[in-house]
Amino acid sequence: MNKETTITRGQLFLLIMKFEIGVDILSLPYRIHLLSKGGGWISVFLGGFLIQLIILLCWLLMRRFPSSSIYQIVTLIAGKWIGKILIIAYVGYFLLMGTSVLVNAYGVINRWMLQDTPRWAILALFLFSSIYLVRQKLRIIARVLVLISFLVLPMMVLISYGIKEINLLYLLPMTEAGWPNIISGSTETLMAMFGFEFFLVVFPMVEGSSGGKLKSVALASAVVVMLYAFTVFICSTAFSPQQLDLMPEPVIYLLRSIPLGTMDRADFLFLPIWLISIFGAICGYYYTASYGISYLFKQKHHKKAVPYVVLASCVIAYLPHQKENLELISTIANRSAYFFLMILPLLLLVLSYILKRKEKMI
Amino acid sequence: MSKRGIALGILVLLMVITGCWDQDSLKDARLANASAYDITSEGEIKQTLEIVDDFESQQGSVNEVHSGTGRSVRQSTDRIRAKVTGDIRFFKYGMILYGKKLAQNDIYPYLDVLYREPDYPTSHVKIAIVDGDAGELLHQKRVGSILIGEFITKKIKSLEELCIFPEMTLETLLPPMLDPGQDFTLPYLYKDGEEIDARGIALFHGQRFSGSLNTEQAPLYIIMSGKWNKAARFVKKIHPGPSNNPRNYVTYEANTEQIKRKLAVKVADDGQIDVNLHIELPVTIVEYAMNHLQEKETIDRLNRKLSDDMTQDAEQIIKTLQQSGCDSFGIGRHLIAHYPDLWKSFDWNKQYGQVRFHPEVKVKIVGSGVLN
Repeated sequence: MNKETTITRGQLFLLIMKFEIGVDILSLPYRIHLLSKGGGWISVFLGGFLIQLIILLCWLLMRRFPSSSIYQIVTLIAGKWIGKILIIAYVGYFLLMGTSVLVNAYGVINRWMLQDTPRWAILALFLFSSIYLVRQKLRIIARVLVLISFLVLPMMVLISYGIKEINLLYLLPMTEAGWPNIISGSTETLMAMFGFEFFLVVFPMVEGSSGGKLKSVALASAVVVMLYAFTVFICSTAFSPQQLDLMPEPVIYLLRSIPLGTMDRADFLFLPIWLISIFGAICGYYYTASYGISYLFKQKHHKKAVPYVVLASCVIAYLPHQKENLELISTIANRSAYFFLMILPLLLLVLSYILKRKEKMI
Repeated sequence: MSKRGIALGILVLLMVITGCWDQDSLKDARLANASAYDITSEGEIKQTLEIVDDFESQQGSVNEVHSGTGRSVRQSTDRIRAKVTGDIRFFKYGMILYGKKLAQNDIYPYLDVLYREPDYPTSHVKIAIVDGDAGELLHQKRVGSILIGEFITKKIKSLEELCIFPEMTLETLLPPMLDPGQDFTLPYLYKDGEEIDARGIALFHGQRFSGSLNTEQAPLYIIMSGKWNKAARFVKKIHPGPSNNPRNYVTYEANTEQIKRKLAVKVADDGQIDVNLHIELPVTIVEYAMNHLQEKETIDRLNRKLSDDMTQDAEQIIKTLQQSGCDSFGIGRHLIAHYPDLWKSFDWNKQYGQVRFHPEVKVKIVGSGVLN
C-alpha cells in the first residue's frame, strides 16, 4: 500500500474523536433532558456503552477483511450486483449524514450569529473549503483534521466555565423520569456519537494490528462519552429543569449567559471554534462518500468524485425552507444510521460466517 | 488546482466572508442604557427608554428619554424606534425597571423577548422593581451630573455590595423564575421627591410581586439567603432609654468571609416540614459610644443580646416571606430533590405557609476596630 495514503493509530484516535463531536453536542443536554430529566448523565454513559458494542460489531466484520474497506467487503460478501446497490446505499448514507450536519450547522449559525446572511453564502463557504480539503490525500486530510481536533480543548474549557453556576439540587431526584425513559434517552447519545463509522472506510489504511485499531476507536469513543457526560452535567445543573425545557441549544445559551470578565457573549468565541470542528466532521463524511464513488467507478483516486459529492450535499442543504423539512433530513439520516451501522454489518458478519467468506492472509 | 484557480477561489471567499449582510455599524446604533416598563390604564405595555449619545457632543454625554406603548414589548420598542433616529441597541451594562403595577402580573411575558433574542445582552443587565411609575424615574434624565441610567445601575451595584439588594442579573433571574421550587427577590426602588431611594427588597411569589422587605431587614435577609456580598452593616438599639440618644445604639458589620450558614429541611412522618436555618455571624463593632468593649462580660452580654435580637428579626423576615408566599430559600427545590413523592402529593403554594422555620442567628463579636 502506498505510504502516502496510510494514517497512524494516533491519527485515527484523534480523527474519530473529532468526527463524533459534531453538531449534537450543542443540543444533546436539551434532548436528553426531555427524556431522562436529572438522569441525563446516566443516559450518556448507557449510550456510550451501546456505542462500544456497535463498534465491536463493526470491528468483528472488518477484522475478517483486514485490507478491505466496507465497500470492498459488501462486494465480496453480497456479490457484484447487490454489492453495487449496497455501495450506492452507503455512499448515499454518508452523503446524507454529512448534509444533515451541514444543515444543522447552518441552522445554528443563522440563529445565533449571522442572522441576515443568506444561506447560499454560508453554504458556499463550506462548499469551497471542503472541496479544497477533501481532494487531498488521506494523510493530508488526517493532518489537517488532527490540528482541528485540538480545538476540542478550548471548547471544553469554555463549557467548564459553567461550573460557577451549578446547583446540584437540579439533578435530583436522579430517576425522576424512570428507568425506561433514561434508557430510551441513551439513543439520543447514540445519535450524537455517530461519526465513528469513518473507520469502516479507512480501516485498511490505518497502520498497525486490527486489535490496536479497535483500541484507538474504542478509546476515542470513550473519551467523547466522558466529554458528553461532562457537558450534560454542566448544562443540567447550571439551568433549572424548567429553563432547560425552553432551550434547544443549552450549550450556546450557557456561554451566552456567563460573563467572561467584561466580555459578554462568550458564545461568539465558542461558535467559530465549534464551526471549524464541524467543518472537520463534514469533511470526514464527504471523504467517505467520495471514496465510495471512486471505488464504484474504479477510479484510482477519490479526487474526481469530490466536487460532485460536496455540490450534491450543498444543494440538498439549500433546498428545504421550512423548519420541518430541515429536521426531516436529520431524522432520515439518524434513522438510516441504525440500518447501516447495526443491522447491515450484523447481517454481513453472519453472512460472511455462513458463506465462509474471508480474506486470505498473504 | 492551478494558481489562477486558487487566486480566484480566494477572491470569491473574500467577497463572501466579509459579512456585508450582518454588518452593524456603531455609528448608526443608538444605545439604550436603561429601560422601564409600566402598564397603562388601558392595560397596554408602556416602555420608556433612555437613549445615550456618546459620540456627538464634546461636553460629556447627552441623553434623551422616549416612551412608546404596545401590546407586546417588541411592539412598544418599535413605537419608540419610530420616534428616534437610527436603530436602538441595548447596552450590555444596562438596567431594566419594572413598575409595581406591572410586576403584580406574571412578569415572564415581559421578559420573554429579552431571552429569546440572541442579540439582547443579559449577563450584566440589572433589574429592579419601582414602587410607583417606573418610566417616571427615567424622565428625571440625570441625577447631579450623572445620567439617570448610569446612576441607577451604579446605585444598584453599590447597594448589592452592602447586602441591601439581592445580587441579580437578567441571566441569574431566569432559573429561579421558571422553577416551581424556588422564588426570587429583586431590588425595590422608589422616587422620593427628586431623590431615587431604595425601598428594600421586592418579594415574588411565582412570577408575581407579592410583598417587600424594608432596607433594615435586607442585610439579614441576604445573609439568610446565603448569597451575601462584601459588607453587611446593622444598627441595633441595645440599651433601654431614649431612642434619640446615639449612646444606646451599636453599629456593627458582618465579617462576610467567615459567615457560616446551614439550611436543613426535615420532613416528619405526618408530612410536617421543618426547616432549620442556623447562621453563625462574626461581627466587628463599628460604632459603639458606650465603650466598654475591653471587658469580656460586656462582650458576652452583647453577643447574647444581639443574637436574640437578630433571631427575632430573622423570624420576622420569615413571617413576611411566608405571608407573601415567597420561597426564595428554595425549600421547594429541596423537597423536589429529596422528597419527590411528597412534592407531587401537595400544592406547594398552599403548603409553603405551613412550613415551620426555626431560624437561629449566633452573633459573635470578633473585633472592634482600632478602639477597644
